[in-house]
Amino acid sequence: MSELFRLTKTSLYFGNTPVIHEANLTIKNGGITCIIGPSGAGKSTLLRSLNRMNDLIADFHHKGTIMYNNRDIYDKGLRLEGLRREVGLVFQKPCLFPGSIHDNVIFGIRHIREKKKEGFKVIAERTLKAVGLWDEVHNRLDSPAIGLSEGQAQRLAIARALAVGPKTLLLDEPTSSLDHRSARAIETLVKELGRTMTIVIVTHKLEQAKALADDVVFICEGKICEAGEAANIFSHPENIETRCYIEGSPPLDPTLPYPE
Amino acid sequence: MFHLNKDRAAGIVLGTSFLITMALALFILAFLLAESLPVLREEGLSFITGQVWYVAGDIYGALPMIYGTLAVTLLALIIALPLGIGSAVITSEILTGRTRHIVKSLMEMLAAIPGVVYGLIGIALLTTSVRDLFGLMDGNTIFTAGLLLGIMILPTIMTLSDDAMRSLPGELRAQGRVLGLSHGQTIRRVVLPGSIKGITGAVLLGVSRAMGETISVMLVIGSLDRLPTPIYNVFTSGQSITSKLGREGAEGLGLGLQWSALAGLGLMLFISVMALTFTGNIIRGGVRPKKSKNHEVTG
Repeated sequence: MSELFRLTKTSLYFGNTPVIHEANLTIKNGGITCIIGPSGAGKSTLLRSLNRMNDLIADFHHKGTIMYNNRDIYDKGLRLEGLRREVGLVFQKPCLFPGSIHDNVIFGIRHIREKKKEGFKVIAERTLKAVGLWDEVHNRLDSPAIGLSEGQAQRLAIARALAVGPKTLLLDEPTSSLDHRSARAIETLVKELGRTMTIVIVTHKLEQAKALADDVVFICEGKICEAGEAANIFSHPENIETRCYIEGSPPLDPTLPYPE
Repeated sequence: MFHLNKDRAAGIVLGTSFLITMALALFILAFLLAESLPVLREEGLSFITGQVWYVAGDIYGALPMIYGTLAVTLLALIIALPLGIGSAVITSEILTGRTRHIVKSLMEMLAAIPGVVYGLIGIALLTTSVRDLFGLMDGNTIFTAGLLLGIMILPTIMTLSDDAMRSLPGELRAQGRVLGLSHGQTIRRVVLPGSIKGITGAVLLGVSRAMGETISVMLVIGSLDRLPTPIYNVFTSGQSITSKLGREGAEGLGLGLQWSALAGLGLMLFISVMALTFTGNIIRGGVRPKKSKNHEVTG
């Protein structure tokens, strides 16, 4: 598979504090890449840097390069809105706009002329079906979206992101605030979507990563410790931190010898 | 030993303050109503529809004052609404950090300047400028009063609208941006619709200030108890309820029907301003500034 993202010596800062330090990483085109690691490792910051969402935070800055489809995403000629339409992002907690379910689904495309031609109702139906929400809401599309359950709201948020037509979808711990059943529904959906588009998902649930990932990126304390095929990393982690994390034991002092 | 529960004591103090405030408002309403009864009995509906206010003949028609009040308020709104909301968008959505703080503080300072100071500036600068710009004989016009009021209520509308926009969660803005909306589109489609209640409340409070403003209007409106001809000609002298009360209030005290007519004007103003302020505060609801990590949008 060809590469989709390439990070070269990428450091990400909030103020003077580096959150990600000199990361070198390649994310393949297609399939599901899971970013895993302990809390505060910089997983979400790394994910959000892929469509420049960190730029919305006033004291954020970066060093190094982030290439998307062989183009620097900080290239002056690149349209930021275009990048974000191609690389969608779903946040940890579903953030719905005041308004109906239908209004929410089409929120990102109402100003796009080509989408208007296709018809908003058609797009809404297609994306709601894609996230498995159509049967539950098709008879109340004009009802306020605020009345949906947390799991439904998260699927609606994914439908809203899909309606824009992204080629890549970034998911930032999309099941962290959901109950087990809703989380399973989202996992099934992500697996399904991963067949047709590139998915990069941040999760701290190891089981979820094992169930979903084609590739894994393990981050610890702002450094990319290990990245590669999921099967390899889960069965034979090369890095000591990765191994401790996967085996569920606390990180060891790196100065100690590798445990046999 | 008697120990008064602190919560209970606070409740009693707050309850008493509330009752005193309500009693005061009701007393003012009852007083104005009682004082205006003679003129309402004498003039009936023509107190509102009558165009002549002639003290020597004991004729009291308040229409020129009602028109003047509505005209200056409307003009003030036409000026202050776009400028106030536009400035609020700039301070809330574009400026960041110290610059935003300085601009907001300046606007809040402007809101606190007494009306009489605005009035003096109005006399010194606005009346002459309006006269020269529009080739008028006299710069004391309804338009001048509206323009001055617009400048006066601009900081109120701006700061309260800014509060309303800032109270919107930063996540909503981020959600707009992540869907590929530009900064401008996010302001139009996320921020303004999301804070419309707070903005409406801000505008109503601004309008109530405009309607109740006395001294500055009195200094520049020309104080002529007459409807303009044609009716939309605001480049002529006029009279508002407040300017009328300001001019005649003291001298009319205790003078039978004239005093009653002035009390009637006060009653109209009191009810209008109270209704606007009350509605404005209800609509604004719990609008309070909140800080959010994602709020400082720069990208």
